[in-house]
Amino acid sequence: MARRDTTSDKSKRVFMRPTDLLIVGLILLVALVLFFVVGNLNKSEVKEAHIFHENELIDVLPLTWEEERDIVYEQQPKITLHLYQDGSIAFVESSCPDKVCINSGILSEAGDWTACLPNRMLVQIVGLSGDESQEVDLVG
Amino acid sequence: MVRKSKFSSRDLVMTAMLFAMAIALGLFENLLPPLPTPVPLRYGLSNIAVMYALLFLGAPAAFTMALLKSGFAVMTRGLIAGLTSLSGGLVSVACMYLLNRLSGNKASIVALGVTGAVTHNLGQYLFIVMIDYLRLPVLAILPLLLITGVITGLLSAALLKAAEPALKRLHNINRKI
Repeated sequence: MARRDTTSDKSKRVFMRPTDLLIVGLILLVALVLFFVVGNLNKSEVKEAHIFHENELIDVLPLTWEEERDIVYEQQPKITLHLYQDGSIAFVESSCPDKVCINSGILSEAGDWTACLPNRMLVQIVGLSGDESQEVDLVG
Repeated sequence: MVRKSKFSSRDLVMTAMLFAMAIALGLFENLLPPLPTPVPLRYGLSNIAVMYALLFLGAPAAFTMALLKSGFAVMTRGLIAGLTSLSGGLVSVACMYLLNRLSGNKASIVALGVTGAVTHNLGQYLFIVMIDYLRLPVLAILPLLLITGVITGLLSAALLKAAEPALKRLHNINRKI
């Protein structure tokens, strides 16, 4: 009835063939290159947090040594951000079902970012080094 | 001239079952620990069902599943989520179909899985960009989409391959998985 399929003989069960390795390798290479481009663009001591809501910049927070405080914006009263003493920032409360924003943890370095997609909110740390060209990687 | 359709009622039932399985896999992956990403990305286990449908039931079945999945997403997660799912799903199935076609039906499961996952992520991101939903940092998000695509693609390919012995009983598999 069914002819014997010899492709699954125990002797040769290959998971990835050379072509597969090539495809995967290429994709990872592109990803790594992009990753390092981003990494090298952002190295500064002076940092600001840019808060976007529905693609509008609603606040710019200079991240200097500050008093710890909670921040709530009237556009999104159910979302609480927390500003830490060392100048890092994080989502601590949100009305979204997934809580991805909160689980992203604390943002501290220039280039760090996280977003609450259902609430259309984005928090990004921008480094200042004299020129404002750090914003070039935002889609706009 | 009427061409006799090769899509039997058995195939129709299988498509329905695979769709149900895709949903079930989607629900299951929500129980797993979330991926450490700043935007919601899933394991894409339901792609296992879509890949199977593409290979053994044909492109129309796979496209239908993508449509049905996004319909389900609209009902459970809302319109934007549904449209994002539609965008990712259609792009993903189209790319997997093309890859399979261009390779003469010899594309490996790994290649299909990775392509499907990566293009799914890219398709979703493309939609977010098109409706200007939220301007995520492009250079930062692309590597994330690519890398998680590769990893989840490999995972679903491995799982489908692991199911190969069981699948042989369903279809005359004259295609190497």
